[in-house]
Amino acid sequence: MLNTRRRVLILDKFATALITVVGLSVILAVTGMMAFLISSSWPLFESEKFTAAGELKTTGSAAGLLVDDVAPLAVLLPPQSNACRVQAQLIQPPNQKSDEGTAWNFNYAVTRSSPAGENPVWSLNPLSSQAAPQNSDDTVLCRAINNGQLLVRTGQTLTSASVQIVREFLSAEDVRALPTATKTTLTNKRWLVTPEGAVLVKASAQSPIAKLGLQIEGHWELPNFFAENPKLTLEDLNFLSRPGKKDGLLILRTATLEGMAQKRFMLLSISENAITGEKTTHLKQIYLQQLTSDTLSQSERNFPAAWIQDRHVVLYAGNNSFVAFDSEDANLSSTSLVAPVNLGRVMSWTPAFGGAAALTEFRSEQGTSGAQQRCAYLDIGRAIRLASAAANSTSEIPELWRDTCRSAVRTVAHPHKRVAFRITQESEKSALTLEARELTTGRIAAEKDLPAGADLTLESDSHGQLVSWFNNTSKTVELWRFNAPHVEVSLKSLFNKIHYESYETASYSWQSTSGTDEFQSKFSLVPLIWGTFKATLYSLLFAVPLAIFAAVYSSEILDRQTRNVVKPTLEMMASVPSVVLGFLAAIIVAPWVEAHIVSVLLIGTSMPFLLYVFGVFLQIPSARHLTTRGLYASRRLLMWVVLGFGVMLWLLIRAGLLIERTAFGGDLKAFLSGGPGTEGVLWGMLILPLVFISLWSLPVSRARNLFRIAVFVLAPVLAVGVGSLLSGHTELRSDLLGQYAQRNTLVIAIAMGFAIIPIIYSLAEDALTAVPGSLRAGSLACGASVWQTTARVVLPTAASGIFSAIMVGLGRGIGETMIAVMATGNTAVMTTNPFDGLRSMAANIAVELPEAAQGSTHYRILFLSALTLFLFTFTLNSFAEFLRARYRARNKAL
Amino acid sequence: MFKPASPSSDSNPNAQGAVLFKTAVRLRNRASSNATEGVPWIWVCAGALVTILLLITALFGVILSQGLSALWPHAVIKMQNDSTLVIGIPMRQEEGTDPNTNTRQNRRLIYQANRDFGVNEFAFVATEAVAGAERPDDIWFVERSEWGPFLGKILLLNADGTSVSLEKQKLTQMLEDGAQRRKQIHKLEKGKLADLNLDLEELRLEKKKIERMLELGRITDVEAADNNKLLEERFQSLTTEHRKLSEQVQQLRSADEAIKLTLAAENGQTKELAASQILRAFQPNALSTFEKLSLFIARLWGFVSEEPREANTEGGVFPALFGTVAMTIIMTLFVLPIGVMTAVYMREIAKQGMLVSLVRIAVNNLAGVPSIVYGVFGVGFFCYTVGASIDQLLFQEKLPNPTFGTGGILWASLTLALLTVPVVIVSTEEALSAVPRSLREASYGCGATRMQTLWNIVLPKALPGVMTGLILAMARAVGEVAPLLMTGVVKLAPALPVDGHFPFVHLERSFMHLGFHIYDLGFQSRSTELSRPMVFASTSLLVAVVLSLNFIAIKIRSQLRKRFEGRGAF
Repeated sequence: MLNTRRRVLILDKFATALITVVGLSVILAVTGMMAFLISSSWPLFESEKFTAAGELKTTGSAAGLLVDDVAPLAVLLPPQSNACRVQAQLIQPPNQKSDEGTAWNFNYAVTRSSPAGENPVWSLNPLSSQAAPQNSDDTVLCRAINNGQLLVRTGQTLTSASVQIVREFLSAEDVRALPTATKTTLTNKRWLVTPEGAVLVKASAQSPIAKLGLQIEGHWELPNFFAENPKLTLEDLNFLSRPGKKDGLLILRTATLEGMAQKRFMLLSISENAITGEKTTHLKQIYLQQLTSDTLSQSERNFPAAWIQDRHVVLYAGNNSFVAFDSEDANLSSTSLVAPVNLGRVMSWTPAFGGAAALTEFRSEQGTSGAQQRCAYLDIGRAIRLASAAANSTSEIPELWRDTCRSAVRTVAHPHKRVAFRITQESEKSALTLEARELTTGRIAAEKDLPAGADLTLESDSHGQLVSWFNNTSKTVELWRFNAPHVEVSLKSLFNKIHYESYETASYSWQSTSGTDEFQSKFSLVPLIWGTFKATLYSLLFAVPLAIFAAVYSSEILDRQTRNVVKPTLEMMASVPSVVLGFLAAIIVAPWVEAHIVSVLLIGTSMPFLLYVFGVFLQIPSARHLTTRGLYASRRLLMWVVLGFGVMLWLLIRAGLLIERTAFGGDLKAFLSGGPGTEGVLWGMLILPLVFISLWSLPVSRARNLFRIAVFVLAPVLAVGVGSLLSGHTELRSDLLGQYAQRNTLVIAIAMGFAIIPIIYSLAEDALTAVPGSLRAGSLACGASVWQTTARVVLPTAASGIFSAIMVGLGRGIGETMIAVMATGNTAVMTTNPFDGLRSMAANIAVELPEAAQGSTHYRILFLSALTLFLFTFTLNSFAEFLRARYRARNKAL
Repeated sequence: MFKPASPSSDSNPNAQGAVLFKTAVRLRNRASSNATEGVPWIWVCAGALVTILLLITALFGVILSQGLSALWPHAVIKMQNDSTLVIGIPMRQEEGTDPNTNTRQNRRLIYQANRDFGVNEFAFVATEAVAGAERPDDIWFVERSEWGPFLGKILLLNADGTSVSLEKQKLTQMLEDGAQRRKQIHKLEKGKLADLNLDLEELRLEKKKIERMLELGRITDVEAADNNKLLEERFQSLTTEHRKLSEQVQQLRSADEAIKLTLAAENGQTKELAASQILRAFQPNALSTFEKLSLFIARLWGFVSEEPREANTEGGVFPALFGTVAMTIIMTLFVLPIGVMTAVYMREIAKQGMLVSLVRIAVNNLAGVPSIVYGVFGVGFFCYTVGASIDQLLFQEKLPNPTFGTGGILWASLTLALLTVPVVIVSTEEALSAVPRSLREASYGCGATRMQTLWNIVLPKALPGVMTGLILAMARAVGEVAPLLMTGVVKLAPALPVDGHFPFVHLERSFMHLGFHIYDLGFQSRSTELSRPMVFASTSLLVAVVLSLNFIAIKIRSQLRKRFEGRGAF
């Protein structure tokens, strides 16, 4: 007995505890959802930082620097006109023990041997790191220009070569083939140098082993260059390689050239690589009359230039002006150059030769006067974006940002990441600042102060993640990690107009992916939010009147028996899966609406008042029936309505087809996209209800019924008349409506309306039924008719409840996914045109999330839109719930 | 006008009375002058309701008629259209523009089948012409395992390559035999052979595991060698068995291939195929109504029980139906205990106060949060966070291929459980609060503990309410597609989530779903026209399942209401 009791008690305690734990954890889990969504989208807005990734003391000096992102390998390239040496060193990460593996510090001499009749062979020959350079071929001089590129002088020959870090990950077989000692070393230490001189790196315990090495490759050569131009040295030259090609633009600094002080010239070197593989080098000289040397500042004298779409070249010509020309123009001469583009004020300019400056676009446009206008859209290192028309144009220069007047000392830009690292300086003497600029919006993502007065060489890896510089004063290479996976996203880029690449103007745009890596993703949430609300509002326009009128009828007038059938039927409609509705909308509704578009418009505008009129003509003028629910409560009325409804529907569809045939040449869609048709009729159809109702309610005392019959003829005529007047003022098809897409807002309004109707109906019906009967009884007892009671007593009382029903409906519409995916065409456009498609947030998530890479910017933005949806609906529902609660409390008081 | 919302009328009952009186007088005066005021508005209201009812009727009418007609054996017509011979099944009618005369006309779409006989699958014919078309009795409608349906004649292919016509009886016999052989081969391939393949895959993974252990130094070389030897032995025996079975299947296949038929289309083209490749053949114009009906039932059964063919545009939807049911059941296993316990906690255990009512509102609101948001949460939390951790712990040898770290039936079920748990909580709470207090007090009075009262008195009373909530939750889960798009639903699953292979229920597998099937077929298939019958059939099935679940829920609820109304005197 006692035993059982204790067991029961223990069971009781245990069960209570279990239920409590489960209950609390479910509540926690459910609220945790929001927390998870926030935590997943939060990294988008985290501020970016530079973190130290290593430092290297070195003996050499460098003008160029190469870094690799797997292993901290730094390659120092020779400064100005030195004997050609390349130094490669591993950079010590800040938190590593000092003697991890052999330090790798090798010097290489660049040699170039040219066997007779063959292409020259380039190689890197290791030198002993301790020994001073000796026995090396000191006749080879070279100078680093950028990104591993060297200009090399051997005797009278000028050549170009580039040094690259080659990295390959070892396959499983390769790893197995490694000696055991090597493997052991690699498990304990992070890298080692093989006897062959390659470096094996294992960045962490999980990562695969990478093998690093250096490679040099020659590109082109000009055999007698220095013989022909005896005054020139390597220092006076620069080379700007054409994107994706080996050839490019050879630029000469001519200030040193005597007799040429007023004219600079530059050479275009194109080595044609025909099918035979034969290389021919061709030099072309161009004199730029426009340029004057004395106006250039020190940094400008480097002759900044850039390629645009690997054909056109834009040069900075001093005096805040640019020249642009077509490199493939065979008769290129000074006069055929584009007139200098005056940019007004040049804010700051990238002095580094090549790579840093990137011009996005160059195009010729037909001006309004018919003359060719050439516009250069300049994207100077993507640091400042300037657009300018040709010299004779006065069009303004839109500038994205000019918040800083600091001049840049060095810039490295990453076209794909759209980030530029710049070292800037307020004035000659002030401290240096390293900044990471997001180039689309111009946001400074991160900043870092650098020691003043240092002579710095800036370099970055190919992913825009590592930035390193060589401080020529202290002889150190510093490596910093700029880990900003979502640098292109900020509140501004999500919600403001952005001037994207190759777009004419700033715009809201959503275009998340494309086939190529260079593609600039456009993540603006505005078109999606627009689409969401457009779909919802149009469907509410369809659903709210229907649902509320229906709710009024079934709660106030319909007899109980019928109501008990009708209400569950409508509630059942709420459970029809949205994929079914979406499918039917796309397969059945969309083609039907397309074929009967005028009829649909006509039904939408005329059906309600036609029903009203139908009622007027059929009403029974006996007050006895009207004060009770009597006649109108019966199913007979519904039957009459169905009949009248059917006839009207048929008439309207026919009328629609007739109108389409007579006024729009049989095809409204063609009319909308510019075909023949009468604009006045379209206007007339839209204003028909207004005209009809105003005519109908004219206080005509004599022959009232006759007049009202006449209204049926008068109203359409008058509507078309007024419409024609209006069409002179505003053209409907171009200003308010637009082209017709098969899957459009009208279709989704019908399909989504179908999903929303039962929700609004059910809640509104409940709200109306909850109005105390005493109010109705009082009103009826005072002699008010059923409708008077409904419209003036019941509806105002239930208003807040009905409003809350609409809010819930709105919430459902905002989150509706499958219908939006299937019936809208999913085009992220921002128009009010009901014949246009749209892309809603929910549909966008459904379409794109399965393909978004986990953790990517795209993925997180989709999480952010899910969070936005969550917050929208949660707020709406809470508000509706609050209204309902107040309504209930008040009804109790009544 | 009567304004109950104005604060003055709320605070002062006298003022309220005065307003009421004034309104009444005014209304009365008006009523006498225009007693019929507003009557047309009643018509408008009725019109709105009728519109909605008509829309519902149209919706279900379209779904049902299109769905059923997809399985009904339709008559085949044969006619000359301009210069081409049209043989096919008349489908829907539409108004279109005749390309020759450029006039609008009513025309019908004719499904001509015979994709591999150089025939356009679809043709348009003027409606009037269809009515007068001939309906020859001798045309066969053949459902094949490949290339879609065929319309034409079936001939017997002799050994010398000539084709002769054959009796209907003999043909039926041949087709039956062919079906037997097909089933036999299928059974071997999908049964034993598939099992063997899975065993081999397991061995491979085990081998990989040993390698990894060796690398990590958890086992010695000797142990590894021993293990590998054992594995090798098993591998050998399995491969032998596999080879034997494969040979057996191959033999069966070649024997099957030997019995051939010829399909001859009306345009003169012929094609040979093995008798077992014909799944079903009938002469639609020669069928009596009863035969049509029985054929319809057979096809209906086939639709529900067979696997899809030809990129889901033919065959059945069994895997999709199975996946839907399996997912719903797994979801129920989570949702029922958790939902009920939470409701019990909130109603019976937690102190009723501000916090609990806040939580109640939050739970209520969660029912209105878009399903896609749950999907996003599901993929981010279940698949990529929980699933990835499970993979790290338990399935490391399969990495980098994810096991649980990607979409699967478990994650889809859990996501839907989260989505539907508010429904269960709300309805359970309602049911609990409807249990009269007196019952509880009586139970406590008899000395029962809280759990005893709950288990024996309160929960049985609330059971119908709980069931209602659960069924509504299931109905919602069955029809929901958006969250599944990212949590593990696929177009064509290679294996069912439940099968005869250990551990029988494979929670990590991706699955097919009826709703997704509709989305995929209706929206992304090669030809909308071709997949149309299948989508409509699937749609009817889905709608039927959802509506019957809802119907049951409504019935239970009304039963419940009656019961409590009857016993309200407690």
